Amino acid sequence: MIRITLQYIPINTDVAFLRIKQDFIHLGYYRVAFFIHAIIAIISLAAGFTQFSKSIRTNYPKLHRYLGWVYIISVLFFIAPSGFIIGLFANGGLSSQIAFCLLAVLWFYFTLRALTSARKKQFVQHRNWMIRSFALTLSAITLRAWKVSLVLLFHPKPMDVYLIVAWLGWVLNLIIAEILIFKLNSKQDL
Amino acid sequence: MKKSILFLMITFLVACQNDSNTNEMTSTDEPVVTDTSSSNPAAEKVSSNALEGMYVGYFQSKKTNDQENASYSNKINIVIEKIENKNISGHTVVAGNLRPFSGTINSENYAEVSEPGDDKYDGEFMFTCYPALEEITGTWIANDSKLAVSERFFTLKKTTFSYNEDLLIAEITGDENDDYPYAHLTENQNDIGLEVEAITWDAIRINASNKILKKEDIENLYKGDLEIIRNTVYARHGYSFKNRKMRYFFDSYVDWYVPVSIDVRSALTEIEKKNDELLKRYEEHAESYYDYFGR
Repeated sequence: MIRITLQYIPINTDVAFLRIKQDFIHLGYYRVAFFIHAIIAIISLAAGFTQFSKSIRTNYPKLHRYLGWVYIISVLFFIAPSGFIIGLFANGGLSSQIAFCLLAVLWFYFTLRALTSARKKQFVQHRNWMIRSFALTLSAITLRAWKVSLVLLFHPKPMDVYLIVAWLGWVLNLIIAEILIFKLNSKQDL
Repeated sequence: MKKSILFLMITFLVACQNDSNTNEMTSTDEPVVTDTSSSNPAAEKVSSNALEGMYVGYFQSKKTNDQENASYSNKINIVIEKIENKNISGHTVVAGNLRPFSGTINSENYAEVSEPGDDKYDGEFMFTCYPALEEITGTWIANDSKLAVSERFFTLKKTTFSYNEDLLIAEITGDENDDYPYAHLTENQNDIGLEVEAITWDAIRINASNKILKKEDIENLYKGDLEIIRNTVYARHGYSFKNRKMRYFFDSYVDWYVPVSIDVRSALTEIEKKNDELLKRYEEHAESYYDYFGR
């Protein structure tokens, strides 16, 4: 993931992904959104990973809260909104545009709920919303993993694979998150 | 390694018989063998001396030293520009190399000519012209006897060249549901062991010379197809490919393809230049991202 991010630093609009986006790369807000998305994404991913560690939560609650703010702010203010804008111009037409925009909206919503529930000290809800939110954060990785797997297995056409992973990359994560939440909840009820 | 999993590797047999070449050339598509006498001043000379003109066919290995790097068979174009008294001169175009030659020709139409000698691949040609058959046949011996291929033989058919923006690499005759149209392109099979990426019907159907392509036309194409579509533009202009994979493809499979030039950049039309740029962008994109863990 870090390598993917690093190819855009220093800000370089001529990398191959953007080269096929020449139609609207001249749009200032697309360019800004793209680089915000690509560069800050790595922060949320790294910050998110630490938040599920029990030892950090119990031994360093301050660190948990501090990194929580980093995660929440990076998602709510930067990556989700920029993701939505990029999603409007996604390769592959309406289907992938809806997929990426919906992903951005849900991600924003889950993350916001995670914040408000934590503020209200509803920690079970906070955990559940964070699982959902981070499941979507992980789509950055799963989307690419699916792509590589599908290409190796089936050698599909490039835009076909993009259309598939635009959905597969996060819907499956969300299903797994719901199963996980369901299991955690029922364990608690016992 | 990844590539070898991803791409269909197709190996072919070198067609070594002379008569298969003859068939190859006589089946050349009609539109290419058009008379250019009205536009081409060189054509006047052709009428003054029946031997002058372009001769195209396969330049095949006779003596090899290095099995690994040998290019066994390339399409060659020997252009006889001028015959005066006993002197003959012209140039050859083969494998991205254009070389002048000059020498002598006797009354039996047997010629001995040599290339300047300042290029690694220069050598001497000995050939006989058969004006009635519109053919020349002969051999070539490299100055450097240690070259991968140090001797070659050839039988070439007289041909003319003219640019036609509508040419496709093949007639679409097969079942379009077949993924790989190779079998329909030609019956020639070669064994030179080159890896050729699979191409699909898209590579045959899409013409980047006669209309501006939109991104929707090409965004879902495999890299191999994009590459063929782009290089077909060059082939229409008679570009002699340095790139071995492309040379092999057009030499082997495209009947109308005639190598006449080693640089066609200035010949490209505005439509072609635009498409060229777009295709290159998508090729790069496919190269960087298709089978990698990245966007």
